[in-house]
Amino acid sequence: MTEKAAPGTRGTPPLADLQARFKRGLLTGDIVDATALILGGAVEPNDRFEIYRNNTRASLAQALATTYPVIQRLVGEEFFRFAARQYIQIHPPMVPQLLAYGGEMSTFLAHFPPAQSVPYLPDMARLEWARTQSYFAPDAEPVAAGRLAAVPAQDLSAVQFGLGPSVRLVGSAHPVFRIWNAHQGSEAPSFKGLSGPDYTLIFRTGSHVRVEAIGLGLFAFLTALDQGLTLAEAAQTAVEADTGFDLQGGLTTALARGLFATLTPPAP
Amino acid sequence: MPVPIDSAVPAATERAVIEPPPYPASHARFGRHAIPARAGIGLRQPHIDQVLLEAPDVGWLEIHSENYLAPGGPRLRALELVRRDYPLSCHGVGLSLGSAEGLDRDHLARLKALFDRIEPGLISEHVSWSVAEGVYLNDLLPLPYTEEALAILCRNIDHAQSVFGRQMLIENPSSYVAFAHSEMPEWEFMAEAARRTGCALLLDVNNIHVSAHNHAFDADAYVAALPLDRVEEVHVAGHFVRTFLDVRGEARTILIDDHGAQVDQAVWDLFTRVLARLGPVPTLMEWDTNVPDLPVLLAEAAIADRLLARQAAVPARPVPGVPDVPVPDVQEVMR
Repeated sequence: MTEKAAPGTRGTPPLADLQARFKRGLLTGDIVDATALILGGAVEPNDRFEIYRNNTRASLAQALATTYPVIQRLVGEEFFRFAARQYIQIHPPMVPQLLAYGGEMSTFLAHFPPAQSVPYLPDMARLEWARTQSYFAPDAEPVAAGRLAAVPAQDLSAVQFGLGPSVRLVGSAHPVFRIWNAHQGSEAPSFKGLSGPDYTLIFRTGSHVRVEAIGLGLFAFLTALDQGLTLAEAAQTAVEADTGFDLQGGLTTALARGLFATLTPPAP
Repeated sequence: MPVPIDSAVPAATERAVIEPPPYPASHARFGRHAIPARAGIGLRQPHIDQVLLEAPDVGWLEIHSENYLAPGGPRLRALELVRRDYPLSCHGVGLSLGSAEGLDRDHLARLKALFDRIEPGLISEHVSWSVAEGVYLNDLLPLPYTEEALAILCRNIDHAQSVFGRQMLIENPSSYVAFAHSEMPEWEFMAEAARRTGCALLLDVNNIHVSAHNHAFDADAYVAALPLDRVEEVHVAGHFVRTFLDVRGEARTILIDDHGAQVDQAVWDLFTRVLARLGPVPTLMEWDTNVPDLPVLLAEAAIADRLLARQAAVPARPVPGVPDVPVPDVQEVMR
């Protein structure tokens, strides 16, 4: 029988000490300090503590798999579980609503040595995270096309648009939209021979998150508007990025999808 | 049990059932204190569209509050539609009432905003902890039953009730470990927390059964020792049996509270004995992992409803320590 170490013997309040020991045991596997506090009985303290450890790790890994289904299919369940364990240790949840958990996955994968052979994983993680963020974003009334028609012609070039809270733009040097799209069916996806770049627009309409491929011009245009540039400045930026950019078509696309939450005419 | 994951973004190809306009909660058909003494079910994402379309006859619904703490989006809108037709209870899984470091003020504010928006009939949380050093561990972890932990729990309940501006229910946990330095039994800890803070009790009958097995205490003695006049809600759920080998190589079992199966007969029996003391009380059928089709869940709730209806015909004697109350024949009700 080992001596039971009482909690709080290191000068911290007993309950805070117990909870710190449990946290360490649950996240890292260093369980000696935690199990020292536990009564055994018919089942050993280690076995009892392992139930909680498995619960915590498996449920957080499941939360990540729920947010990153395409990443999981790309790397396989076993590798994903392995990566998730590392992720959970480095980036444990800091808020109790798991719909907000997993936002560091792109950064994590970019620095995760075993994942380096699949260079598009970090961008795929950005796309999947953007989709979750879009789904839970605040509601906002989109700017109706008629609002733009009501702006006097001489003021049009200085109009500013604010993107709606559910709108996300993901640009990548890799073909991440096409790879993502290939994984939306249940059959085995084929995406061999694809090359980037892909520009992806993510937005919510009604109850659904839409994911669409857009051209570089529209991507640059929307990004510039999001940064607060005026309509004329954003159009200029878009043409510089893509000489074929069609301002009329781009505006129509954006207004029809309800991408704008605000329209600000220039101050008189 | 670990907190179930309910965060999937539905595929955009799914048929849209829930469309705007958002429904103002103030127009809700039910008042705030209108959870009936009937069976309710835990509302899970896979069932929301079906509940809205088919409006099944179930007394009330309970959500996990944390699944709705988003700034907006279709999930909250669907909840507002559900709220129009059903009494709703908000069951928290992330407040961590037992944390020594106190409660997260941001989280309290988010919960308050949700309660203001949907005006739940009941709000509840667990006598457990999930947060240590700012990290959320996504499980309902056990407390040592000490005077220190009791004082922390009561301080946190006081804090939460003052932010919410209303009474909470606290739920007895299921657990797999007990602490060597505990100073009192769990029922005394629960009863004392309710007495000091004025909160009500949520009696999880499955948790009592699970913990009684795991820690070798008597479930009926637990029930008898509680101030039953403070119980405003009961939970029933399924569990499973896990086998371990002890040092002599003999098989020993632990009951795992996974809310992933039909209610065990022994739990229905305990529920029946609890009802005999308590009288009819809002009773939730919880099913969180391996979530079945809605009719399976409703059939389990119907068993609880039949037991509740039987009890309604028997005068309740909510006096602790009085065991000789007529117990309905459970086997007959199950048919």
